[in-house]
Amino acid sequence: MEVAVLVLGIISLVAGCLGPLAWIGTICAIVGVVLGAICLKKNTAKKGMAKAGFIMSIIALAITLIISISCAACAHKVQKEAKNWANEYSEEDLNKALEDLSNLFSE
Amino acid sequence: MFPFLDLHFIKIPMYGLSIVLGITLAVFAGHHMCRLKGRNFYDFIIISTISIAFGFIFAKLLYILVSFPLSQFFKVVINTIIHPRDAEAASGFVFYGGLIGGLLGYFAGIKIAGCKFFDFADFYGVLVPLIHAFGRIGCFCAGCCYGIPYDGPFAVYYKNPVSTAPVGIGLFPVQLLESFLLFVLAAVLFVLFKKGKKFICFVYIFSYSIIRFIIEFFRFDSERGQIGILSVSQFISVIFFVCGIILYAVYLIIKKYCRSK
Repeated sequence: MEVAVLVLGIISLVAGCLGPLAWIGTICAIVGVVLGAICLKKNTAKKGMAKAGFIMSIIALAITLIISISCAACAHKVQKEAKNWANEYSEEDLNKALEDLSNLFSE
Repeated sequence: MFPFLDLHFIKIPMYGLSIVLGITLAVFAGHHMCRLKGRNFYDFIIISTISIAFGFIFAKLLYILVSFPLSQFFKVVINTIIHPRDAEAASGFVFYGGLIGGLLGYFAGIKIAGCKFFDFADFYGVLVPLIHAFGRIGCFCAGCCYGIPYDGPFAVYYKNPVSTAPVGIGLFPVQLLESFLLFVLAAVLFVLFKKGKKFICFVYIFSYSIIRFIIEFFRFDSERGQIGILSVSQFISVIFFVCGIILYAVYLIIKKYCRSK
């Protein structure tokens, strides 16, 4: 189990730092923290490995939480703006704006 | 207000940073509380991690439930799983969903750790308001969960267009008020915990449902759902308060019955 904790810790830390894979890092980090805590509680022979994996999982969990929750706050704004646009302008207006834009680019 | 902490080489989002700071402080406080009560710290870590994971999942599910039509619920949930960084999927959490999920996670956690229900229940009565208070500071910085238009003392004017709050209008600082009340609640409950009082989790549920019910009248963000004249959070506050009273009454009756036997 200690090896699994170490592997999960490494995967979560690497995936957590890569933006689009942060959610895989979150899942690995959660499992890593839980398994790491179980290993450390049982005081197993390969305690060093478990401790390393446990600490890496905690760091990865902190990083992914900062990234994913902030992402939620930013995306909230995007969604709100999109709703405002949909309420403010009709589909015809938006199509006309898109046509004007494409004409502008073709010129 | 300050959506990002700009360190020149990296921009750290304040919302996530506040919550992680709150959780870190709660872990240290939890370590101290484990020593006070003679509990195993690793059990505390196992239960907390599972509760936080469940909490975030349910906070997101309740957000989807109140923010989108019921017919689109499964579509949005699947979209959230497949494209977690999509604008529609990534936006928003509802705290009460997190509380319900955290409670379910707590049940799973005590099973895995092999503990009894009341071994750690009172710990979270103190720690949840502490993390939540930091979360509200994050809301204030990100400009979400904002208050009603207001021009009196302590009015807040958001200038950064990244914030979800209306820009340039005076708003009631409801996030800071809630954060302050939660810090006070956490401090009071910690003192009660130190004195060896029991059922702090019930005191938290009662107190927070009253605080939240009143605070909701000062909030102005329109994205949250309504049930009749009450907001969804006010409705859940009432349910929590009533459930808390029923559970406490049942406990008192059982205790009396056991004593008489």
